[in-house]
Amino acid sequence: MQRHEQQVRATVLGMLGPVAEADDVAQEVFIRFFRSLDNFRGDAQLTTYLSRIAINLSLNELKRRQRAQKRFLFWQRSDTTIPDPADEHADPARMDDQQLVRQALQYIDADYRSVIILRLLDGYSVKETAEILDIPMGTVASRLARGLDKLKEVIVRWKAM
Amino acid sequence: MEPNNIKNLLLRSITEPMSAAEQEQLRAALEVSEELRREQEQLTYTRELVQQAIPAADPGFSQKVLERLQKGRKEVALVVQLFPRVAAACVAVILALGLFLYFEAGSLSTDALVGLQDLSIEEAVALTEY
Repeated sequence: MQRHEQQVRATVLGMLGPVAEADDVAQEVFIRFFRSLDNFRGDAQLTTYLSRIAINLSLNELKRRQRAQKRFLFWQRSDTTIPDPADEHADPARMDDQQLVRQALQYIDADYRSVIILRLLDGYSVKETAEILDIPMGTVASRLARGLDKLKEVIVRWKAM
Repeated sequence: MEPNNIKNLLLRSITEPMSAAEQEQLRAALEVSEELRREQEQLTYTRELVQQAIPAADPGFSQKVLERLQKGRKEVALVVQLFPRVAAACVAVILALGLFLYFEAGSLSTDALVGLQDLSIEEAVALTEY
């Protein structure tokens, strides 16, 4: 577990951002893995298998968060939108580089985010990333390029503040 | 070359290997465009930031996972242990209610179950009007 802990935590933190639930989700990845040990056929590498669980659980958490936000907005009847990187909620001036990049990742689409995390942070090849996300290799390359461009825009904007 | 194609080439160069011809095209474009050079610098910086975003090790992580696993097992064991008793208690309550109903109403019909067995037609009409 210790060998894979950091990679799983990096994946989940990248997907969900620096929030309290990220640790719970990272723990849940290993719990799911232990519970499904009988189903683990060993034809996938353990790291790939864990990354797939981590991405799926993170996407579930993002959906849950979206539903909760919708309910909240319904009751509040407000027109609140996702905070702009320039607003005080994000407060980039107080962040170190790691916090900054994790926070900036939250402002790009989850489809792009997952590719960036798997390719650049976890170091998977295009083929492995495509297998984990179940998408064509061409889509991985295009999402990575577009995602990195969008991420760059957010970071440059924050750094200029 | 079209500016969009150069931009795509630049984006690809940050994350993928390129052919010698593509590298040459990009090099030529970078030589004449300061804006492109700045963009390349920013993209490279962004890539490096992402690559460095590995969280510090959490010494208590494995312990927390094991505790949650054990807690889950205990809960399942408790449910398995309590299930026969809870099921027996439910059956006893259902039987007692059935017997009570049978001795009170003299039958276990649907009317008796919903308490309508002694209702007259006038009372039933009054209920529908109500």
